[in-house]
This record gives sequence, C-alpha cells and structure tokens, in this order.
Amino acid sequence: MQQAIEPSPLSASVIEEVEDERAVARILVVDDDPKILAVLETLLAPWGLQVWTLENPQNFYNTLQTVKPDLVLLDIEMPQISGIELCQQVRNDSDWSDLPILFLTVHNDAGIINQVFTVGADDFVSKPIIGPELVTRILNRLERNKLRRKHAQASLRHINRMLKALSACNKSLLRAQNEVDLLRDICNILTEIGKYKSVWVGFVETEEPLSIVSVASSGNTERTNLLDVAIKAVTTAKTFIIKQENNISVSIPLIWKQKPFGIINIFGEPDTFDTEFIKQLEQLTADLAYGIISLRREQERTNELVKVNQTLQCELERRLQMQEALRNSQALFEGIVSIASDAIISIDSQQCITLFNSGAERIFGYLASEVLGQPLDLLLPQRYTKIHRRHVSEFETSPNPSRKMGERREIYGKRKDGTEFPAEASISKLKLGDETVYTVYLQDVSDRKQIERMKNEFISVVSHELRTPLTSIHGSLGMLASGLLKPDSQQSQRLLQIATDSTERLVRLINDILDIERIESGRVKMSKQICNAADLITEAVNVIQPLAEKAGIVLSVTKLSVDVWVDPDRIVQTLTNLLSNAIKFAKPDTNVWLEAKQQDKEVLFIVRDNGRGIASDKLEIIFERFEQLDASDARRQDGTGLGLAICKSIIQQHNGNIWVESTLGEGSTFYFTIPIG
Amino acid sequence: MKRILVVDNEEYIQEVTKICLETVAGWEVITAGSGMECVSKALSELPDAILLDVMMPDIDGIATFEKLQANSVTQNIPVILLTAKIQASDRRRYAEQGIKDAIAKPFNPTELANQVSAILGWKEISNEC
Repeated sequence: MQQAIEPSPLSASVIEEVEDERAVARILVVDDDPKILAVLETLLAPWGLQVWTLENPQNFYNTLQTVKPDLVLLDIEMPQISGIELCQQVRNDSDWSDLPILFLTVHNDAGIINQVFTVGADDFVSKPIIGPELVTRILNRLERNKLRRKHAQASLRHINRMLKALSACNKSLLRAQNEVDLLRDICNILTEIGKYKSVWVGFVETEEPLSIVSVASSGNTERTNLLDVAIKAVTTAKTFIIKQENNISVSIPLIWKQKPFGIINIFGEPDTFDTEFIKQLEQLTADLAYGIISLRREQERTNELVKVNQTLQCELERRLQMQEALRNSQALFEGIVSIASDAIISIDSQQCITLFNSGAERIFGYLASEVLGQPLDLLLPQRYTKIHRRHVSEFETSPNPSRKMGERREIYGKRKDGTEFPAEASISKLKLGDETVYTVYLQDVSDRKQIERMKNEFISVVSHELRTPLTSIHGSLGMLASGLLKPDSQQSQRLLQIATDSTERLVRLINDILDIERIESGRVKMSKQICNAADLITEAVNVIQPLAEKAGIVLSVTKLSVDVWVDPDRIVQTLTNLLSNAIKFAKPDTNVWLEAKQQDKEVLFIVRDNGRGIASDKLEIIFERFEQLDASDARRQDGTGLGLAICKSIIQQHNGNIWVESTLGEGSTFYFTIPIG
Repeated sequence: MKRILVVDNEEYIQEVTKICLETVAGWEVITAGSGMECVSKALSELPDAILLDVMMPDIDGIATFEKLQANSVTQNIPVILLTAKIQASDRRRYAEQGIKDAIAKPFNPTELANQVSAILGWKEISNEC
C-alpha cells in the first residue's frame, strides 16, 4: 500500500469542473482484498471523491443500483466471480453501458489485457498501485464522462427542443388558415421553442434577376449578409450551410414541383445543428412548402368561390331586377290593354284567341273566359270566316308588321247575341321565338256609321232643299234674261216675284241650316241669363204681331212673371216660331193663344191654334228636319222645314221638353217647358 | 201643239216651268202638285208627255210612274223625270223601267224645251224672238 499523494496542481480546471459539479463523483471499488479497498479509499478520498467499497462481488449488482457510481474499479481475480464477468454483466445492461470501468490487476499478460478490453472495460491499472497515476486516470475518466454526459444531456435537451419545435411546427401546419400567420408561427416556434438564434422565410419575388423578399422572421436577423446564401440555395435548389462567426446559417429552399419559390434560413449555434437535425429541418421545410402551396390553393379556391358567389349574386340580382321590370311591364301592358275602350284581341298561329280585353268584352258581349282558346271565327259572321282566315294566312307571310283589316271592304263583327255590327280593325303580328302572335285592334263603328249615314242623308236632303228655291230662281232669271218675254208683261212680273221670294227663302233656309247645326253641335253657347218669362212673351208677341194682323188672327196672351235662366233670344225665337206656325195654320179670324204657367220646378209655355191639326202618327216626326206634314199641304213657300227642329234643339239645350197635342180638324197645341233656376 | 203635264210639289217650280215651256216652245202646260194629282190629271187631260218631279212627300216620282204604267190609259205617255240628283246608276235604272230620261234641277230655262223634244224625238224648237 502506498502513501496518499498530495493532489498535484495539474488540472486545476479539472478540479474546478469537478468541484463545480453539484453531484460529487462516486467511485465504487470492488476487491476481495480489504487491504486494497482501504488503500484505495485513503488514496482517493482527498481528491473529493466519494468512495464505496465492496468486498463481496455477489452484491455488486445491488450495490450498483443503490450507489449509482460514476466510476467502478474492479479487481479481476476474485473468488466467486471474476471482475471480467462483472464487467460483462455491467456492459450488457444498457443502464450502465456508459459507466467507466477500470480494472485493477496484477496481471500483465496480453491475454488478460485483451480480455479486459474485450469485455468493454475502459482501462486497467496494474498493481502495485501507483497513487498519482491512478488518481489521474480516474479523474480524467470522470472528467471525460462528465463532459460526454453534458454533451449527451445537451444533445438530449436539443433533441427534445427540436422535437417539441417540430411537433409545434406540424401542429401549426395542420391548423394553418393563413400563409402569413403560418410562416410567422414557424419562425417563432423555431426561435422560441427550437432556441435558434434567428429564422427568416423569404419568397422569390423576381426570377431575373433573382430577388428574394423576406415575409416572416423571428429573432435577430442580419439578413443582408445572408442573402447570397439564400440566393445560392434557391438557385441550386439545395440546402446551403455556412459558418458565420461562431454560428451556423442553414438555408433550405422551399420547393414546389422541382421549382424553388422561397427560402427558410435558420441561424444558430453550431451545436444546434447536426446532420440529423438538418434532415429534420429539410423535412420540415418540405412540409412547409407543401403547406404554403396548399394554403395558396385553398385561397385560390376560396377566391374563386367568392368570385363565383359574387357572380351568382349579381346574376340573381339581375334576374330579380328583370323580373321586377317584367312585372312592371306586364302591369303597364295590362293597364293599357284593360282600359282601352277599343277591343284588343290576340290570337295565336292557329287563330285561337289568347287575349280578350275588357273593351272586347264590352263590344262583343262575351266574357274573356268564354272566348279564350276559341277560334276567332266565333266573332265573325259566318260568311266571312273563310275569307278572313285566308287573309290572316296571307298576312303571316307579308313583310308588313301590321295592316288595316278590310282595306277594300267593310268588315263586320258578330256579337254574342248574334247581332252583327260594322267594325274597323287593324291587325299586327309579332314573332315570339317560333310562334307568331297576331293582335287585332277593333272598334265598333256602328255609331260612326250611323252618324255618317245621317250626315249623308242630311247633306242629300239639304242639297235637295237648296236646289228647290234655286231652281225657281235660276229658271225665272233665265227666262227674264232670255229676252223672250216683254219686261213689263204679267209673266215677267210674276217671274221676278218668284225669283225674289225664292231668294229670300234660300237665305232663310241657309240661315236655319247653319243655326240648327250650330245649336246642335254645341258651338253656339246658349248665353243664359236671368230673364222674366213675361218679358220674353212680350217680345215674341211684338215680333209676330204684324203677321198676325195680316192673317187676321187675334193673339190671346197670358203672361207669367217668373224668372227663368235662359238665353232670351233663343226662347223668343222659339216662341216666334211656334206662333208663326200657329198663325199660318189657324183658320182666318180665329185666335191663337199664348200662355205661360208655373208647374213645380218648371215653366210651361203653351201655343194653341184651331187650325186643321196634325195626324197622330206625325206628332213626333214634325220636330224632325225637313219633315212635311202631307201632300195636300204643298210646302209653305216661306217655311224652311227646319223651324220646329230648331225649336226642339233650343229647348233641349235648356234641358226642357217640347211636344205637341193635336186633333185633326180641330187644332194643335204646342207645349214646351223650361226648368226654373 | 203639244200638251205637257208638269208635276212638282213646289208651286213656284210649277209656275216657272210652265212659263218656260209656254214661252220657248209654245206648248200647252198643265200642272199638278202631287203624284195622285198627276195620275188623275193624266187620265183626264191625256198629255203628250209628263215632266215628273221625283222627290215628293206623298208618293214619289217613281211610284207615280208605276201607277201610270199600271193604267192602260196612261201607260204610253212618255215620262221624263225632273230631279235634283242623277247618278249613272239611276239613269240605267230609269231606262230599264221605261222612263224616257231624267233632267237635272236646276234646269236651263231656255233649253228645257229642246231637251224635252230631243228626248222624245220631237222636232227641234227654234227660238222665237
């Protein structure tokens, strides 16, 4: 046994390290010789090492578990189990595979030494033990182990961090909704969890010249220096690693479909990178590239969907607007068609009725529901149906969009009750897709036709009436001018007289015709005012007095003083007319009576004569124009045939009534009423 | 001398026509104021021709003509219508019925006699001064 050696000044730092270590290193010594154990104990203790001794190698394993030594000194030759065996046992146990094992042996031969190393021992020390040497070896061994452990721990910690970081990155990738957030997340994860010094991600902005723009970063980035590296990585599509000062920069390109589109640059301490880690980072980058592309695709798809949605929205709105416009147009159309007082009838190409407005209902007497779908023939007299069908067929092929129906002929419609009426119509056609729709606009012109007839008749009658005095005038003057008669002869005088009278009659006739036309057309406004009936009677009597005297008729007048709202001249004209007629027809030396009475809300005027009277079947028609009473009454030369018609017109304009009562042979009484107020 | 029956419901026209024919042609003129009077006078006077107004209140000229035709005494008396309105279709109709012709009113007073002669195939009238 050797003496304890004082610790040498060597490895002060080692001591520091050792003493720095919180856990004091434990040495387990296994030797069956207690003397050796004691020596070792004495030797090692001053170095601040905790020494455990074990005499019985059988307890080795248990002791190992309990003590958990940092180093084991084994004797080779021991009675029950050899150190070699023990070493083997230890080395087989993965828990203790790292444990430094030193053999103590007296043996020297190569064979033993070989065995020693074969079973995995770290070293051997030969007996006798040289103190300092042993100590040095032990301390060195411990030191190395500690460092290795530290490294391993550091590595573990780093691996741990890496795994955490990768896991977090994967989570981030899975949950990513947004590219920018994803990249920021990744950068942050790598710097905060992965504990890299800085991370930045850039995208290729332009290809020629190649420029890369940073889109996310974390930590302190000194990018400008690293841009070249990034560019290189992108250009070559390979990972680029460079050392910068005491740090390492790794640039991994983001690749899609063999084309690099970006770069991730990770900057950190050297011990944070090794091949395995870089592989992991490359894998992460690949995943990141995939993730970015997916997000973009999704974004694109989303954008597209948004666009499609917008387009659909627009389309929908447009359709709604169109529908609205259509509804409005429909309402407008219906409004126009329904209020039209003329008939508007639409038919399809089979000439069946598809539209029948209220005007048509009124004119034809059918309800729309009764005629829809029926052929148009229903509305025509039998004899016209075939020809009409032909005309519509011809019209179908004509270039005109519309034309008047019955241009060269009269057309007639047939009402529900079977009556026919004259009509004016025009037809138009409209092509809607494949179908042609025809629309007929029709007016019932019976009234107009009647008016036309009446007008023609009137013109005809007037023309005749005018020619009558004209014939006398023309004939008389012609004869007088011929020189065939002596101017002062009786015949000449007679002709002159006839011409003069006839001229006057012509003048009166024309005046009366104009008068009655103007009154009836409403062009002459009755200028009504408050008048006293008595005054009107007085005036009429004054006018008619000379005629009465000439005819030897006595006027018997009963006045009534009551105010009426009338046109005085016209009422006087009426009274004069009636009186004049009465005087003409009265028997000579008889009376003509004029009376006015108040009845309820009106004034009744009465003109009575006892002339020859009027046949009962003529009592109404004498108020018509140019109606003569009978043949025996050769037209009174000074009568125009319009007098009573004019009276009737005037009274009607005053909202009154005029009529006659008469007995043939006894006389006639003419009445008319004027409402009061 | 020819005897003419002039029929018109207007007295003045009767008179003027009478004076024209008497003065220009020297014919004897009798007058009637209605269709009925025409028939009765035709029967009683047997004129050589009848100048007949169409528009008369009781029975018109056409109906009067038919009455004359219906009577064997008068059916051969030539009839000329005097009328305010003549259309081509009317002339055809009159001709078909047997009416000789129609003269429009107002007529030319100095020419009337010649017109009548021409229609009836009588010798031309020369105007006396």
